[in-house]
Amino acid sequence: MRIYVLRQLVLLIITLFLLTIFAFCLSYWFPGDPVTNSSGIFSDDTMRYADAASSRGFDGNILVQYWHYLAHLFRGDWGISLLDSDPVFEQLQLRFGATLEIAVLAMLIALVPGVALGVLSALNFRKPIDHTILSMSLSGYSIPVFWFAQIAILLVAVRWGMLPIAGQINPLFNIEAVTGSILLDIFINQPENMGLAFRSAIRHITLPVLVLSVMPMMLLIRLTRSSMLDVLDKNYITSAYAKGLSTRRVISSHAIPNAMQNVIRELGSLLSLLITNTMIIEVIFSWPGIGSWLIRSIYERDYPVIQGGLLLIAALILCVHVALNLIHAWRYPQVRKDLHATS
Amino acid sequence: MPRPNLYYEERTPSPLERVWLEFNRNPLARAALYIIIFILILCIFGPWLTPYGPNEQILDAISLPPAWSDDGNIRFLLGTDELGRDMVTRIIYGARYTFGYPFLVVLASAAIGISLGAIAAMTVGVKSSTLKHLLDVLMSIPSLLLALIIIAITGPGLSNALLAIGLVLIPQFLHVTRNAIHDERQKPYVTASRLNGVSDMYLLSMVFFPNIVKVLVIQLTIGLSIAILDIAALGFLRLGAQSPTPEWGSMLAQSLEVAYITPWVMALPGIALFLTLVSVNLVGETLRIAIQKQLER
Amino acid sequence: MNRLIKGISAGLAILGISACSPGPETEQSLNGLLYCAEGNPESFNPQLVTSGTTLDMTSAQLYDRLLEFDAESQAFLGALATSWEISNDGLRYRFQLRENVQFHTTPWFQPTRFMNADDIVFSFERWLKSEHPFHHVSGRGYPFFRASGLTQLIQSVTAINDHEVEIKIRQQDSSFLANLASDFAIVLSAEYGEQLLASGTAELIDTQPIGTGPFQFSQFRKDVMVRYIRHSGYWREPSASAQLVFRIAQSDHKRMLMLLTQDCDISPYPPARDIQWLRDKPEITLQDTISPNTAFWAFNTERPPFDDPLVRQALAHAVNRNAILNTVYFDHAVRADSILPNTSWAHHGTPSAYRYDPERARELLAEAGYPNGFSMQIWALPVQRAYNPNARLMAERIQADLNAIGVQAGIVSYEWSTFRRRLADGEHDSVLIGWSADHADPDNFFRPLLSCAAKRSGNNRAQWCDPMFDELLSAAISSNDQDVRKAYYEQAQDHLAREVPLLPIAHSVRFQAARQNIQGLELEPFGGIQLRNVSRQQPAVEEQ
Repeated sequence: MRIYVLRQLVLLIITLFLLTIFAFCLSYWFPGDPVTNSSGIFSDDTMRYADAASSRGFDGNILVQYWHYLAHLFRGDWGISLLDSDPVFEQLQLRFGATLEIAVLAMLIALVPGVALGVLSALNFRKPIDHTILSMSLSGYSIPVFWFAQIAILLVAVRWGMLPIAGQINPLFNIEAVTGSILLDIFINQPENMGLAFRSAIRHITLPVLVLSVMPMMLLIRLTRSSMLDVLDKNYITSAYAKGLSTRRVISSHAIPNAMQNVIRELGSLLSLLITNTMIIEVIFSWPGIGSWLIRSIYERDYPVIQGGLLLIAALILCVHVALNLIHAWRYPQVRKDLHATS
Repeated sequence: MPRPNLYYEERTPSPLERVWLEFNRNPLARAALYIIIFILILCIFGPWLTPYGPNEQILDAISLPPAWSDDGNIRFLLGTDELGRDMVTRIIYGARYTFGYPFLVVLASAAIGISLGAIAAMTVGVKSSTLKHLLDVLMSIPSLLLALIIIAITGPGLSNALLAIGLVLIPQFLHVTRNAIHDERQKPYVTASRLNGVSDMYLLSMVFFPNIVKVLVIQLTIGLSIAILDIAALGFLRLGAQSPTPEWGSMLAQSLEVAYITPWVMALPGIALFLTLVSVNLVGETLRIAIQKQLER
Repeated sequence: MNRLIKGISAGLAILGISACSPGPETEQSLNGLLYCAEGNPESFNPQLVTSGTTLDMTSAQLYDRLLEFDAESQAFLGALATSWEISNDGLRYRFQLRENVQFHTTPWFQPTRFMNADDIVFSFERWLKSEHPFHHVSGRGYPFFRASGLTQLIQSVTAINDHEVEIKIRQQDSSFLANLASDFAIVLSAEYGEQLLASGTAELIDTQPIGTGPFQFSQFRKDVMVRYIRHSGYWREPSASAQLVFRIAQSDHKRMLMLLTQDCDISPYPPARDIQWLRDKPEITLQDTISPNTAFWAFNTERPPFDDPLVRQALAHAVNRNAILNTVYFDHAVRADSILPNTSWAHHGTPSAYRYDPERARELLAEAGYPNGFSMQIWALPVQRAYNPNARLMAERIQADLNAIGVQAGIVSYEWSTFRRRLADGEHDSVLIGWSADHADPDNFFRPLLSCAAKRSGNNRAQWCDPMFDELLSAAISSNDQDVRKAYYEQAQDHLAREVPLLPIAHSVRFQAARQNIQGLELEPFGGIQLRNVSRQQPAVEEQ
C-alpha cells in the first residue's frame, strides 16, 4: 500500500508540474505581451510594468522566467485582472469556495437517489421498472443542462414564484465573504438574524444545486446498474443465496458493497461532468464562482484570470482523481495488486 | 421467401445483422436511428427544404406563435422569433451547425486519433507508458474546459470552437485505440498471425482492425455526443457560434431574452438539441448492448 | 457507508423543510432596498465618468451638488448652496453655502468639521487645475468637464469666507448653472483628501468614497453588488431605507426575472418588448417619463472609409429606422431626425437627410468609390440604457439593412467598462450608443458629444472635430437670447445633416419598473435616479 500511495503522489506531483509548465506557456500563446498576460499590468503603466518585467525575470532566458513564474505562483502572486486590477489569487480563493459549495452539494444530492435507483433497476433487470428507470436516466443524461436550468427557472421561480434565481443570498444580509461558501460564511459571520439568513441562503442554493445534481444522478444510475448486474452474476452471490441468506441480506451486505467498487472508480469521470456543468450553472444563476469568472474572462480576454482559473480547476480535478484512486485502493485491497503490475 | 428448413441448423447472423436485430428488438432505438438519419438528411438538403433564408427578417411577422395556436400563421409552422425569422428554417439550418459540423469534426479527429493510437500501440516501452500517463491526465480534464482554453488562445467563433472540440477529442480516440489493441495483442489469433510473419501494416489493418472496430464505433458515438453538447454549450456561452448564426446553442442563448413572453423561441432549439442527443446516446447504447451480446456468445 | 447515507438524508430533509416551510415572507421585512443595476460602477466618483450606470449608482446617493434642477418648476433649487448671486456682467457667481452639513462617518474616515468653502474649492479644482494633488489620481481624466467646456470656462474658484464661494468665468455662458446642477459637479471632502495624502493612499478617494449624500459606502463586490448604508447625519431627512444594495445583473432579461422573483425591488430600463406584459402584472408598477435622450449610430470619422461624408450619408440612407422603432423599441419611442430631442426648444429636424432610401445609398456608395460595398464592424452597447433597450438586436437589424446595399457588417461587443475604454481609444468602426440629457439646456446634446473638446476627452464617439461646428456652438452658448441661440442651433443641426458624423435613430420613453410594495419612487426626466425617499412597504403580517 505504501508503495502505491507513493507512486500516486509522485505521479500527482509530476502532472502538477507539467500543468504549471503549460500554464506558464499560455502567457506566450495568448495574443499580446507575455509580461502583461502573466502579471496583468499594461505596458503604458511604465514604472510598474518595468517592475513586473524584472521581478518575473523577463530579462533572463526562458528557464529563468519559468523559475520566477513558479516563485510568484507559490507566493500567491498570480497577477492582477486586466479588467479591474483585482488580485487574481485572492479573488480565486473566494470564488473557489463558492464553486466547491454547489459542486459538492450537488454530488451529495446525486449520490443517494442515483445509487438507490441504480440498484433498484438492476434488481428488476428487464422488467418494466428497469425500463422506466433506464429511459429516464438516458433522457435525463441527454438534457443539455443550460436548457434544463432555464426551464427550471421559468417554471419554479417565475411561474410558481417559489425560489429566487440569482446570487448566493439576499444581499440585504451583510455577510462578509471569508471562505466564499455562503453557508460557511454565515456560520463564521454569526449575524443577528442567523436563522433567517440561513433560510435565505438555502432558498438561493436550492435551484442551482438541484439542476446541477440531475446529470451526475443519471450517470450514477447507469453506473450502479451495470456494476450491480456484473456483481449479481458472480459466484459469491449464488453461494450467499445457497447459504440461505435472505435476499435483503445478500443485496445489502454482499452485492452493493462490491458493486460500489466499480462506481467509485468511475466517480472521476462523473467529476469532469460535474465541473463542466458547474461552470455553466454558475453563469446562469449568477453564482460568484470560478466558472462564471473564467468564462467571462475568456470573453473579455483577461489573460491572468484565465491562467489562474484554469490552473486551479485542473489542479483540483487532478487531486480529486488521485484521492479517488487512493480511496479505491484503500477500500478494496484486491485492486492494489492489479495496479502494481505494470502493463 | 421461406427457405426449406429440412435440418435443424443454427444460422449465425453476421455482426452487422446482429446489430440490426438489436435495433429491431427495441422500437425506441429504432426511432432514434431514424431520427439521426432524418437529421443527416436535413443537414445535407436543408437549404432546399426551407421556405425562407435563415436570417431573413419578415417584418410583418414578428414573434408569431406556432401555427396551431390561435394567433399563429400557417406560413410559419413553428412561429417566428423576435426579429421575424422563421423558426422552422432556423432549426433546419441549425442542424448543420449543431449536428453536421460536429459530425465531420468527430470523423476527422477519429481518423487522426485512431492512426496515432495504432502507432502508439505498436511501439512498446518507455515512450508508450509515458504516453499512457499523459493521456490519463489529459482525459481526466473535462473536454469543455480544454475547449475553453483553446478558445481563450484563438478567440471566440464557430470555426475556433470546432477546431477546439476536434483537438480535444483526438486524445480520446488515441486512448481507446491504444487500449483496444493492447487488449487484443496477447490473444492467440494475433500470435498466430505474428508467427505467420505478416508485416506490421497487415497486422494492423487485417488482424487488429476488424476486431477493434466495434469499440471504435462506440467511441465514435460517445465522441459525437460530447461534440454536439460542447458546441451547443459554447454557443450558449456566446463563445462558439456568434449570432445571427442559427446554431441551436446560440439560438437558445438569444432566446432567453424573450423566453418568458414567447416561450416557443426557447423551447424549439432546446427540444431539437435534446432529441438529437437522446438519439445519439440511444444509438450508442444499443450498439454497445449488441456488441456485448456478441462477446457473450 | 450506512451512516454516511443516513447523514446525507437527514441533511436533505432539513434542506427540504427549511426551503419550503410556509409562513410570511420574512426576508421581505428586512429594512433595505434592492436595486438591480445593469453593470459595475467604473468608479465611485462621478467626476471621472460619463456612464449613466455609474452616475445612477453614485451621484445622488453618495454626494450632493451646489444646486439642483427641478424639472417640475423648471428652476434651479439650492442644495449645498442656499442662494447665489450673479454679477451684472454675468462673469462672477457667488454662492452662499448651507451650514451644518455633515460628511459621512465611516471606519476609514471620521470628519472633524462640517462642510465648508474649502471643500467646494477642493472638489472643483480637482478637475480644474492640473497642479491639484488629486488631479492625476485614478488617471481617467474628467470627460464631462472637458467636453462641456467647463475646464476652459472657469477662471477661478475662491473661498470668500467659510460659507461663501465665488466662481469667476471667462465669458458669459447660458448653460453654466445647468452644468453645475448636473450629476457630475459633486462635492468631495477636503479633509478626507488631506488624510489620504498623508497616508499616501490618494487613490482611495475614488474607491472608498466620502461625500455628504443620503447614503454612505459600505461594500463593493465586483459583479455581485454594491452596498450603501444610511447616512444618519444627512442634512435633509435621513433616507427612508436603512440599506441600499445595487445588485449587478448585466442582462435585461435576467433583471426582469429577478424583479418577478423578488430578487430585486427596482429594475431600471425594463426591456421595451416587455412593457405591455409588465403593465398586466399586478405586483409590478411601471413608471414612464419623457426623458430627453437620443440613440444614435456614430461613425468613426477618422477611419476610412468613414472619413468620407458620402459613405456616411450612404449608410444613413441604408437604415430603415421605422423598422427599428417597431422591433427594438416596440413603438415606445419616436424616430429621431436630429441629435437634439423633439422636446427641446431648439429642435430642428432634417428628416430628408436621414430618410430610408437604399437606392440612394447604393448611388452614394458608388459615387464614393465603393460600388461593391465593404466590410465593417458595428459595436453594440452591451448594457440597456433609456435610449437603447437592446443595442444588439438593433445591430442585427442594421446588419440586415446594410447587407442589402452590399456592406458586410460584423457585430462586436465587450463588457461595459472594456467597451468604454476601447471606444475612448477610438478602436471602433461605428458604434450604436446614445445620450441622455444631464440637464435641460440644448448645449448638453452638442458640446459633450460632437465638439473637438469632446474628441480630446474621448467622449466624441464619431471622433469628429469640425472647427466650423465648434464656432456655431460657442456662438450659441455666449448669448442669453433664446431666439439668437435657436438660430445658431438650427445652423448646427443643418451642418450635422450634411456631414452625418452620426445617424440619430430614436428618442425613447424612459421606463422604470418596481415591485408594487415600493413607495416613494419617482422617475426624473433628467439625470440619475433619486433613492433617498424610497422604501419598501412593510408587509402587514402579524408577527408571533
